[in-house]
Amino acid sequence: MSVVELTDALLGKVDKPARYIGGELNSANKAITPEMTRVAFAFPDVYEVGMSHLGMQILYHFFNRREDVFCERVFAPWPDMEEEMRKANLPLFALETHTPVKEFDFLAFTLQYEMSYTNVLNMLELGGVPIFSKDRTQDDPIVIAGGCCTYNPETLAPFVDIFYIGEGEISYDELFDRYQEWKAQGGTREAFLVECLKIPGLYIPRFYEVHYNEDGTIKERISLHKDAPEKIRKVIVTNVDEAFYPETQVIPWIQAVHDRATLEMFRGCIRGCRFCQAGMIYRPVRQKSKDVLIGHAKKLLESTGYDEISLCSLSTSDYDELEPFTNELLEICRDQKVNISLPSLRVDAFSVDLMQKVQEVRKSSLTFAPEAGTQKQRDVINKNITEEEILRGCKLAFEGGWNRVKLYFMLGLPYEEDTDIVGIAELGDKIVQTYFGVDKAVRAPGLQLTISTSCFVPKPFTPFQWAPQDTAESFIEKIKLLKGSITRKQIRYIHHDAKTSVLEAVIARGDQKVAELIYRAYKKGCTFDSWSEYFNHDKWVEAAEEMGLSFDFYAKRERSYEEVLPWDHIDIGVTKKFLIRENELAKAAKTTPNCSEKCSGCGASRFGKGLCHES
Amino acid sequence: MRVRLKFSKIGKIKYVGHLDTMRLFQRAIKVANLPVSYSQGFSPHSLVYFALPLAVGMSSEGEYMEIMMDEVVSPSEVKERLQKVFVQGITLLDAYEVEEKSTSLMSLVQGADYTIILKCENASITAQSLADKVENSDELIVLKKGKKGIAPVDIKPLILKSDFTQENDTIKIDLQVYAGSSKNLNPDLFVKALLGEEAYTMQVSRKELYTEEKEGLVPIYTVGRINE
Repeated sequence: MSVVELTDALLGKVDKPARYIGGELNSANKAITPEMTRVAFAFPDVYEVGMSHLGMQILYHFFNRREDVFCERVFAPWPDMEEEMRKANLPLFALETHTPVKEFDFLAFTLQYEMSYTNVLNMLELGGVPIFSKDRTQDDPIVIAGGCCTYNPETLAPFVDIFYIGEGEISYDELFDRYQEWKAQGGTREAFLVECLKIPGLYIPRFYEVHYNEDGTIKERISLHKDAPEKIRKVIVTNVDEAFYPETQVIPWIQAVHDRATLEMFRGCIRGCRFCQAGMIYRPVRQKSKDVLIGHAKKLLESTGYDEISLCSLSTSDYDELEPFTNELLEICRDQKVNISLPSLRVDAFSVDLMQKVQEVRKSSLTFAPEAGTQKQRDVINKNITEEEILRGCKLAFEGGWNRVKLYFMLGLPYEEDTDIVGIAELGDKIVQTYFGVDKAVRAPGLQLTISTSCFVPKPFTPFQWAPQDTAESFIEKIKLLKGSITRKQIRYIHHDAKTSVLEAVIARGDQKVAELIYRAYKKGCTFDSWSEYFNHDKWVEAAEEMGLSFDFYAKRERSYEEVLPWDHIDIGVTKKFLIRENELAKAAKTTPNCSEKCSGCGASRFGKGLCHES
Repeated sequence: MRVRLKFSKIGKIKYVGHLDTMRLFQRAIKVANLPVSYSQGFSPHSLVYFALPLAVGMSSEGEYMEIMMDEVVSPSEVKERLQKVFVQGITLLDAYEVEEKSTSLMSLVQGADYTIILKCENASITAQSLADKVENSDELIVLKKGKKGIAPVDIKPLILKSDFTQENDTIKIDLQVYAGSSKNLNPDLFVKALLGEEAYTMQVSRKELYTEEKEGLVPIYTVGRINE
């Protein structure tokens, strides 16, 4: 085993050298034996971003609970460090032991956003691991990818040996067991991958071939091996109360984006917003019981010393024992001087009440996501909230002393008209009026209302997966229209970059041809595409032109229900029939009740667990 | 009660900056379950103080910090409980109680010892030549970045002692300077004053922090101490 030595001279030259040293509080340290399975868990972004990711914290401790497995962490070196490493000829290494990633048994990437994909390729290259799966040999680690983006694995298919579809707690133990047996017997790399075809939730692209129609759409996907399943169904935890949850978190050396203890309240979301991929792929809804959560909270706070705990879910206020749970948690937190943060709240009175309880003294800003400005458009996307509820929520917030409110919206949603865009400004106006309607003696002075818009990106496995995306020009027009419609000086308007969103749409719904686009863009020097200071749109356009790939084909084109989609071989439990029905309801601006009101028969009940089964 | 700790910060952990180290201590104190006191007000924070910030990349054998506690815990127990939590690189060397009324740690600091290991590309620069330069100049002017921009300063009056030893191709400098909030000389600036535009690499380690008494500089650990 070799060790990458970082000299003082090198570390002295880079920004935030603590990103690269390892050895943090609660990080793993094990005596390495030849039998041990070594996993390099890679987050394809910088340290402070990766260390904020809950999934990594869970799997890191989950893997390391096994004595025969040693999981270490790897992050993308910031460009200054990359330059120094290349100059000094140092390969990418894992933080715990500084072993080069090439010497690991597994190199496991978590894919959380499409714009991190060029970093995946760069990390392989920096690690001296062949970028293409087909070029790897017995000496290379097995490259795995998991995380929410793997539900459309095709755009990274040529680079990844195994995609893990679903929740990590289920099949990794079996994968490691099989690996150890295979290693003891000394078979070929191919033989191991064949063996993996039998493990639930694994998609191994080399055992499939995709054929295309003349118009560029997919004709069919054929299995090249008798054991390669036609469909790969995601694997999920059925009993979240009994599922492994770490008792501790690795404490980053330097302040992470989210530097706090994190409590996972549930998986899935009852709401069924039609644009939301997480709301579909994580079905069915499974929530942890109050006592289990309180137990996790105590252990996490004891072992980390954090002064903030975040309640993590897709919609916190939907937790059904919320009142007794927050009361109990508040008591613990008050004792230990810990703040509670609530990242995902609906804009309703209930949420404001909760915020009030949690933030008794300091009023930070309130952030809500109505997503659309008019009732019609909110009905299209199935955001089941009325204007009345939004305004009542805001009124309560203003009465409670908040004066900073931030609202998130999307532009370019399906079936959107100009009136819906102007409607965002009108809603903002009504909120300002609501503020002025609250007694001067009660409200805090100086309202600051921020309206933020992002550009809608249609995602696989949502009812809008067939929808055309707006062009960059159209987004820019819409941004202009909204800007012009906002007249109140209390409202600040900020918006996202349209070009990044178009590219995100290309990759999100891409096929294996988009994999080539990613490779070409990477070869032109694209990395850290999610960082505006590094995103180079022109290089992406150049790469697409060189290979004759049209962004419009992937982003702007509306698909028919009959078209074979690149991700059709992945089975999330929710049926295509349900997604079609939802899209048709969207056209008619008709809503669907949420999972706790009524089962809409999405198909996720087949997992035999979750809200749909309990009620 | 007020408990002061002397600790060393050696190895890769020297790349963890001052604010991050403070945060690390605050968390470690909670994990060690010490009855630390909190400030009043909107966002209470634990009352933990450091003597003098240490630059990123600098190691130290003479760091000081102080914890205010609501309950009495013997200093040796504080040390033991904290050391158990600590990661590699931080070693608690001493722990002692100080009088409630004694001067704050930060305002105590008036001097510091540093050891600098210097490597110059230019072979004509030796321990002797540097020693002569310090000895023979009435002033040592260097450009310093301050609040009002870059301005020339004379650092000579800030140097208390400087010993230069040649060790093969490196030069070891044992430096004693004024340090703290009123008068402070950063060792980086000292080297820059001597070498100007010459190319060099160096490693700096802080050895001890001092306060000024009638008899001269005395190490911080001797001041305000209540023996157990």
